[in-house]
Amino acid sequence: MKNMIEMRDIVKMFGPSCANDHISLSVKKGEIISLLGENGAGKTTLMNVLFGLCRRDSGSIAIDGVEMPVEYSPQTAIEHGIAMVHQHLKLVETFTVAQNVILGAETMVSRRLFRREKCERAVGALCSRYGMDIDPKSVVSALPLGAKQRVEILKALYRGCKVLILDEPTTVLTPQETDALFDLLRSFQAAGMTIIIITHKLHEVMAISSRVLVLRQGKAAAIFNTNETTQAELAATMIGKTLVKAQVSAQLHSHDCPPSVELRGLSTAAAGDACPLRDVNLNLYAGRIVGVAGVDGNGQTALVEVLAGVKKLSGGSIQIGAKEIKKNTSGTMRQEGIQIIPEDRHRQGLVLAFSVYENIMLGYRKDRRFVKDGVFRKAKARQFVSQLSNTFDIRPRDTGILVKRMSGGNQQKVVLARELSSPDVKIVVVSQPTRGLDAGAIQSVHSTLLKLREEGKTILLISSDLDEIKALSDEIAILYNGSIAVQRAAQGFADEAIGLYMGGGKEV
Amino acid sequence: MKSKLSRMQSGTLRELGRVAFAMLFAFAAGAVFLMAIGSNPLTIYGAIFAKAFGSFDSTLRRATPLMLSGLAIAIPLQTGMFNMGGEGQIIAGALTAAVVGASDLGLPAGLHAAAAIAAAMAVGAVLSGLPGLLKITRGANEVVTTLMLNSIVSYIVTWLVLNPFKGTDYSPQSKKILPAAEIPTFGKLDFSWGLLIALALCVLTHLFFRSTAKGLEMRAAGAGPAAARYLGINNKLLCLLAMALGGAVASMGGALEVLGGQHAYFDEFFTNYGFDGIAIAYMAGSHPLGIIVTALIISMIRVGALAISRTTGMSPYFVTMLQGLIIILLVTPRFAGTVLSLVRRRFPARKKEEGGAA
Ligand SMILES: Nc1ncnc2c1ncn2[C@@H]1O[C@H](COP(=O)(O)OP(=O)(O)OP(=O)(O)O)[C@@H](O)[C@H]1O
Ligand SMILES: [Mg+2]
Repeated sequence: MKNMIEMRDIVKMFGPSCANDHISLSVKKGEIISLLGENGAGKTTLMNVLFGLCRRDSGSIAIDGVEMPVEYSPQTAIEHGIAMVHQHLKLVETFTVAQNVILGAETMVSRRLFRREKCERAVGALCSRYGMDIDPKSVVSALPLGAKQRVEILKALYRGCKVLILDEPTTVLTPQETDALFDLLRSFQAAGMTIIIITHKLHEVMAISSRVLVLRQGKAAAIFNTNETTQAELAATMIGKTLVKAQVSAQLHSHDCPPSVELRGLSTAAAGDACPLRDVNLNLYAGRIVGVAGVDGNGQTALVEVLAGVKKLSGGSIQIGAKEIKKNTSGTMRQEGIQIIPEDRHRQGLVLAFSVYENIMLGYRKDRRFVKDGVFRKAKARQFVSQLSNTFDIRPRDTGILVKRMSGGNQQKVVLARELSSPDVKIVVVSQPTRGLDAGAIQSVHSTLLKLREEGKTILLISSDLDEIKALSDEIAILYNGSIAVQRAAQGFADEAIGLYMGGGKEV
Repeated sequence: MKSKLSRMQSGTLRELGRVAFAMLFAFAAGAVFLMAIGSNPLTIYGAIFAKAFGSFDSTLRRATPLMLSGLAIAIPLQTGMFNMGGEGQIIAGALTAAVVGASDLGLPAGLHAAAAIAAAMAVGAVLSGLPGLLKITRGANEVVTTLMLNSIVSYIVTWLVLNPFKGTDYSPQSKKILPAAEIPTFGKLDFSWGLLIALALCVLTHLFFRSTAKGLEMRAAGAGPAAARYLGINNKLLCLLAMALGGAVASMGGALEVLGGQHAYFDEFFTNYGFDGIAIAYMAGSHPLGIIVTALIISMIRVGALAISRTTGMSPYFVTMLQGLIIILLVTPRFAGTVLSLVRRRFPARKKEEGGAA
C-alpha cells in the first residue's frame, strides 16, 4: 500500500543541541504507529515538524505523495489532512464544545456568519457518527479531561483529517478512558485514517499499534513490529539498558505508631464543577507512604489544594504534630515542612517563563545557604542548582534555559528537584508525580519517594495510576465523591475490593 | 557560563536592534510625511537633533522624571499590574514637593529636600496603592481606576494651586521653594543631582529584580501566579506593594523636577510626562537599565520638538506623531524580521555568492 507519510532524514536543531538527528519515518495508509522514547528524546519535536509547527533544518517530507516545502504552516498541514492533538490541550475554556470545534474553520459553516445552531448540529452529527457522548452546547471548562481530549479529536475530525497525531493522549486518562479512546482510534482506523500516537506506556504501544518507532536522544534507535517484540526489548532499546522496577521493600502496618499528620473532617465549599471535600478523615505516618486512589474528579484536586494552603477549609482541621491548623494558608503549610508536587505542572508547579535556576530558587528563597539579607548568593545558588540538575538528570543540564523550552518530562523533574531536596522536608504531598514521564524517569521518581520514606518523611501519594499506588504504598485510601471511603493496609487489599470502593460500592 | 553570557548579550543586542530599527523606520516614514506637506525633512530633523544635542543638559534634565515615569510602569508590570496613573502621580508628587519645600521646617539643606521627596513619594504611593487595593480586594480593574484617577488628581491639583497653595495672583503656580529644599544643579548646567538619583534608582531596580528574593517573588507573582501561590508567595500583597512603589517612583520624578529645576509647581507643566513613561517602559521591554536609554531617546525628541516650532515653524506635535510611529512599529511583532526577509528575498543572488565564497 502507498505511504501516507514519508519523513526522510529529518534534522532539527535547537541551538547547538540536536532534537531530531536524521530521523526517517514512513507510515502506511490506515496504519497505527507509536513513537516511544525517553523524555526529551525528540518525539514531540518530530511531530511538530510534520505538523508545520517547527521548521526542519534538513530532510524531506511527503504527505500522501505530495512533497512539502521546507517551511509550511500548520494551516497548510491541516489542508493536507494532518491533525495534531497536543500533549497539553489547546482549547478555549470559556467556549462551548461546538465553538471550539468550529474555531478556525468557520467558513465551512457560512462565509459571513457564525451560525450557532448550525454549528451545534454539525458537531452533534459528528459526535453521534463516532459514538462520542458529548453535548456540543456544554462549556469546555466544565468537562472532565477525557472529554476535553475528545473535543480536540472532534476538531481534527471536523477538518476532515486523514492523519491524526496524538501526543501523549493517555497520560491524563484513567484506564477506562484509555480503553474508550483506543476503541475510538480503532474505529477511525477502520474508516481508513492513519494514526501516529506518542505514549510512554509500553503495554499501550503493544495494544494499539502495529509498529513502533523508538527514539533515543534524538536518533531513531529502532523500529519494531509490535507482534515481533516484547515490552522488555522496547524498554531496553529506549534507554539503552534494562530497568529494575522500584517497589516498596516491605509494606508496613501503621497501627504500631501514632500518625504524624491527621486530617480531621476536612471540608471545602463547593465552587464551580470541581468536587469539593466532604468530611475527609485521613491519617499519615512518618516513614510510610499513604496512597490515595480513586477515579479522577473525586476531590483529589481539592485535597492537594487544601494541603498546599491555596484553598480555604470550610470545616475540619489539620493536625501536624502538636499543631492544629484550621486556617490553612500556603505560608503556614510551607512552614510546617509540607512540600507539594501539584498535578498541573504548567500552572501550579512552574513559572514557565522562568529559567530552571529561577524556578528552583523560588523554593529556596528563604534558605540561609543561598540567601543573605534577602540577596541571592549567586555562586552558591548556581552550584546547588546544577548539582540538582545532575541528581535529577534534568536535560538539558544548562540551568539558564527557560522551562517552557523543555520537554514535558524534564519540566516535571524540575518540580521534583525543587520540592524534594529541601533539608526541612517533613511531609511530601505528591499528585500524579509520574504523569508524562518515561520509564526511566518514573523509576527514579519512585526510588526518590522510597528514599524519603526510608528517611522517615511522611508521604501522601495521590495518583490515578493504580499500579503506582500499589507498588509504593504502605496504606491505601480511596477517595470517592469528596470523602475517604476506606483507609487500610495495602497488603491484602485486593484489586476487586479497590475497584468496588472506587466505584462507590462497599464490601459486604 | 560563557555560552550563557553570549546568549544574554545576543538577546539584549537583538532587543536594541529592534528598537533602533523601529526608530529608523519611524524617522523614514516621518520624512515621507514631511515631504508630502512640502517641508524638508533634513531641516526639521536637523533642528530636532541640533537642539537635543546642543542643549544636552536640558535633555538630561527632562530625562530625569521620564526615567522615573518609565520605572513607575515597569515595576508594577513585573507583578502583572498596570499603573496607568503616572500622569496624576507625577503632578501630585510635584505639588507636594513644592508645598513641603516652601514651608519653613527649620531643616538644613539636603534634609529639607529629602523630606520633600519623601512626602511626595508617600502621596504617590497612596495614589497608586488605592487602585491596587481595590484590585486585590474587590477585583476592580486597575487600568481603569488608575486612568480615571488621572483626571481626578489633575483637577484637584489645579484647584489646590489656585487656592490654598497659590503662589502668585497672576499665574497658576505655587510658592517658590526655600533654598534649603533646592537640589543643586551641576554648575550652570540645566540638570540637577536628581539625575543621579534617577539613574541610581534604575540600577537598583534592576538589581532588586535580578538578585533579591523579594524581586524573584514579585516576578513570579506576575509570570506564574498559580505556581507562586503554591510556593507560599502572597501574590496580592506583592501586587499591592509593586503598585505603591510604582506610584512613589512616579511622584519622585515630579518632585525632582520641582526641587532641582522649576523651584515651584507650575500647573500643566508636566503634561504627558506620565504617558511618555508608558512608551519608555514599553520600548525598553520594561528592563530598568533599558529605561535609561529609552528615556534619553524620548527626552531628546521632546526637547528637540521645542526647537522645531521656533526655528522651522513646524508644529511640535510632529514628534508626538513620530513617537507614536515608533511605538506602533515596535508593537507590530516581527515587523523587523518581515522586512528583513523581504529584503533578503529580493536580493537572494548576493546572499548565495557570499555563502559560496565562505
Ligand atoms: N522551543 C525549543 N527551544 C529549545 N529547545 C527545545 C525546544 N523544544 C524542544 N526543545 C528541546 O528538544 C529536545 C526534544 O524535546 P521534545 O519535546 O521533542 O521531547 P519529547 O520526546 O517529546 O519528550 P517528553 O516525553 O518529555 O514530552 C529536548 O531536549 C528539549 O529541551
Ligand atoms: Mg513531548
